Amino acid sequence: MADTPLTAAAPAAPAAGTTDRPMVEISGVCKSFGDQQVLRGIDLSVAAGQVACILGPSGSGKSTLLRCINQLERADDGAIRIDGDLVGYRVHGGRRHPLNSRQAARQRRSTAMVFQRFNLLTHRTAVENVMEAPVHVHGVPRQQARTEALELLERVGLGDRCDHYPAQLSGGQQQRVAIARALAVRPRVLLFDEPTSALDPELVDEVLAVMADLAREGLTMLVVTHEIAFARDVADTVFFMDGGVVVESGPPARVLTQPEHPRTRAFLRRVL
Amino acid sequence: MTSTRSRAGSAAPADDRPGLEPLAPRVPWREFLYLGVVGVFVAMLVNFVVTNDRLNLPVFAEYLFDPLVLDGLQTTLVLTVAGMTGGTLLGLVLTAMRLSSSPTLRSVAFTAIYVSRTIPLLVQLLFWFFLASVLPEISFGIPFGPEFVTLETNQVINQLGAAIIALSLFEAGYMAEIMRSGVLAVDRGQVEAATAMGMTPWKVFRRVVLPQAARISIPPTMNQVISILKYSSVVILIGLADLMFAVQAIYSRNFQQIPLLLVATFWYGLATIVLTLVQSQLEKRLSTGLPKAARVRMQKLEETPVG
Ligand SMILES: Nc1ncnc2c1ncn2[C@@H]1O[C@H](COP(=O)(O)OP(=O)(O)OP(=O)(O)O)[C@@H](O)[C@H]1O
Ligand SMILES: [Mg+2]
Repeated sequence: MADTPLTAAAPAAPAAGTTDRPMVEISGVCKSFGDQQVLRGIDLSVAAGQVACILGPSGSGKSTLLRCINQLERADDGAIRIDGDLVGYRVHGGRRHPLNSRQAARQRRSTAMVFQRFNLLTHRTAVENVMEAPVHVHGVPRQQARTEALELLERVGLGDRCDHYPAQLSGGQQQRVAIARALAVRPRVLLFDEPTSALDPELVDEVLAVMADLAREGLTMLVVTHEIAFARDVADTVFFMDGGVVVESGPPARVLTQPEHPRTRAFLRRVL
Repeated sequence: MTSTRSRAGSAAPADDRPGLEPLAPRVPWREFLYLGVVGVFVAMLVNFVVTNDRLNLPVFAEYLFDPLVLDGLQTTLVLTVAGMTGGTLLGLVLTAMRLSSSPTLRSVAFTAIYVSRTIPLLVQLLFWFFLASVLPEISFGIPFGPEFVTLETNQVINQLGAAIIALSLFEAGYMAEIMRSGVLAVDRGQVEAATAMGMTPWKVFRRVVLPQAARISIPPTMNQVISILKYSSVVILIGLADLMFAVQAIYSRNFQQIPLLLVATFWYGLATIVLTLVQSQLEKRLSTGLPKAARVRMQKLEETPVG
């Protein structure tokens, strides 16, 4: 399972290993809902091929940050760049122009997201879910998309479940279909929003194992999680968020074992 | 010792431990009572129909396939199909406007739905029929500018036209709300997942929202079809020869009101049965991906009565 690459074809980014080229760059991102300020100036950067884990208490704005990266929300202030491209805007004549919905849709193709509640299309089978974006967004011929989708399902260990509807799959299996679906578009960045939080404890490991494989293959991943062990073993960098800011960041060995910030310490005491 | 063998488990040896005694057979006394009461009523009805000469069943048979009745039935069906088609298309536009991000479009749709559901069908019908009295000519051109085509209102909107317009506008408001509830019932998470894949809003609507909203909207839509089938009979007030018009025309000559009303009831009933069959086929067709358990549960709910 681990020795063949998980993506259907080699991505444009370096196949494995890490470069210093920043893939995701976030600076000064702010976001409010009404008068509640959820993000208060987020700065973070993830190099190509690296895995970043975002930890933090509930309500600290982790989901909102991911949703700003793929434009499910629009940041009020600050800049997000993916592989150098400014997210959500077109710069023209010295001004930023918000993208229209077509342009935003086109830009979203560089990311893929795995959701806490899987969000598979319930009226389509597993393999149809994986084929959906390649066929209907990227214009890949059906037959080719199907072959690639079957390969991806095989590699997340669901080769025998491809014609099942989501309602016929366990939570862990649904989440693995969702991961295959995210990989099918060969994204430059994979976003995970608490991918194991909705799973029964005995199903968490099968999903984390698939994610660890992806990390080894050099995909750039941004993972919001409460799985401290996963962050310790897989992440290159850990960001700790609280109250809408990144209060501490660094390699997991340091942030998770010798946290400097009192709030990181309090959080880790509670979850460990 | 008497036999303590249970009804079902005759193979298993009788168990004498307390709490595991065989089940006593259950006699559905209540069910017998209901059946008895219903049976008496059915017998009374049958007796009334069979022994009552004034009901004149031969007249029913004579006029069931009368050309006037069949023409009227055809008009009723045309009105139903045209009114529902127009209402659904208009309703779809109103739904899209109602759910759009533009406040202007949203308020226009809100007002249109309000108006459509406020004005009684009868009033709309007469309004469009008598439109010529306030608007003798209809012109197409640039607003407040030159006119290119001018037509006489009475030529454009005849009886059938007025009826179809009235039914469509009357249905549009209901259909818009039915479709809106279908759209709102679709899981937001799936919409977001499709958006995150890079689908344009229109693609998301077509690939994700529409197939699921359609399934949800079928039962209420069929309700509308069945009620329009019958309520379309208000068109007799503008002299349009539908099914009700036909039977009334006949019984005003031969005074056989009840047999002819039974003729109309027969055709309305047949059309409703056909529509009900179409509905269950459509529901089956569109239930892909519903968990089997849910499908079985739905069937059970349909089959078993409450109680
Ligand atoms: N669409 C929205 N409208 C209004 N408030 C929102 C919206 N989305 C999020 N919020 C608020 O923003 C805050 C941060 O939410 P967010 O989901 O980003 O937190 P989180 O860090 O992901 O928490 P959790 O660990 O519970 O998922 C919360 O207080 C939430 O109520
Ligand atoms: Mg969250």
